[in-house]
Amino acid sequence: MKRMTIISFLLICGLFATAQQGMTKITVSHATSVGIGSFGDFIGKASPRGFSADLQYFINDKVSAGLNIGYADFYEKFGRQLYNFGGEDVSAVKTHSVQTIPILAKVGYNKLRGDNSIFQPYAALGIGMNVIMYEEWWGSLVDQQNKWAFVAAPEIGTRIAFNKYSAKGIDIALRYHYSPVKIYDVRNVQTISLNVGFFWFGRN
Amino acid sequence: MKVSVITFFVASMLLGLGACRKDPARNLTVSESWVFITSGANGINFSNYKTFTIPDSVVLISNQRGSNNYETNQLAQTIIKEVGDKMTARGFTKVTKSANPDLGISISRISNTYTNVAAFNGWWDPTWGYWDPGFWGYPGFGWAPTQFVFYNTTESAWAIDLIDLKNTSGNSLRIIWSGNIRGEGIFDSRNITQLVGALFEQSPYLATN
Repeated sequence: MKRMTIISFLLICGLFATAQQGMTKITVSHATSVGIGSFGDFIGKASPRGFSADLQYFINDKVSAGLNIGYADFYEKFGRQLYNFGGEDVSAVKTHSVQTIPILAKVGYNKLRGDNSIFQPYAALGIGMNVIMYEEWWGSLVDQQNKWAFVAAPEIGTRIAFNKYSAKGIDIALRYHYSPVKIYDVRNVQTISLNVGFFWFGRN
Repeated sequence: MKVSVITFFVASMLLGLGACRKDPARNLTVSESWVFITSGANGINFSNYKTFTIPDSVVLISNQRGSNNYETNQLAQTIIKEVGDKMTARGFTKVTKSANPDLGISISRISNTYTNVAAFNGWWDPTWGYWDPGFWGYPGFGWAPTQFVFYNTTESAWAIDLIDLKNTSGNSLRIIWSGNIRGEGIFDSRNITQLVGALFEQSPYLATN
């Protein structure tokens, strides 16, 4: 009896590792982001001020769909420099500050390994809108632009369950954002973010 | 499950947005807020000018001014002396207005104050200086409808212009160099030497020799 109970218990728990269909995965992560391309030229410093919240509904064991909301604050202050604009010279301490809020509809392909390991890599693609708040400060004078732009965000990641029978664990993902928006010398907004956080599953 | 998911997303967003921005305005010292703008490197040969005159008062440009728009106070005298000393150091000779100077120097202090209004509709409003009712000991309370707050913002700047009094054809006077200073603390007499010095430092062409 005891043996049957143990076997039944293991079967039930083991079923979790193989069947996420109908379940919802929530992931909350801290995001460290860096700008690349012309956006990286505008702000070269990486930003640890970011987060990502993800909701994925598993259509079947491999395919999921849902929403992702992110936030990143980029900031860089430059020492006093002299800038020349034709016959005009401007001496200022410049600060560049940009916040991005990507709101994505996301589809993911999970269980790339095909086994029941606690490591479950996945790939995903999100598309949606990026809210971009751009500020270029000259001393205490600011030139401010707010833009809404299309964003595409492919990502790869892995979830690492606490153990083989757990519906919770750690999620690590590398995500790239691309927004074709032009603001002065920034020809498009491209960022790469490392997202590290926690996930858990719930049944609807 | 659905309600908790939605609540969780909203709470995450608000928590993240409220906690995660580095504010440029709060990360500037007084001297870092200063902006110096000069225009005059446009082919003019300043060695052709030898003398200058400078009034004993500063023009006040303000939307709050009364009937008197000339200032002769300590701040005005400080900046007048500083500009005069810098010009002398660059080889120009200070003369009176009646001695037919080559250059006239006009110094203006710009100080405009604007009254703004903000309506505080709830705890989510980013109105500085206001705490949510929970801070005051009344968690769960809201605010009475449409609370208005009036606050002032001030535009401050110095404008220094060099007027060509030597070449006055066409019945009009021409400004051949101008310097503009903006930022925090620019009306503090203790900063005047540094402020005027910065304007002249980025104008090495402004010399008669």
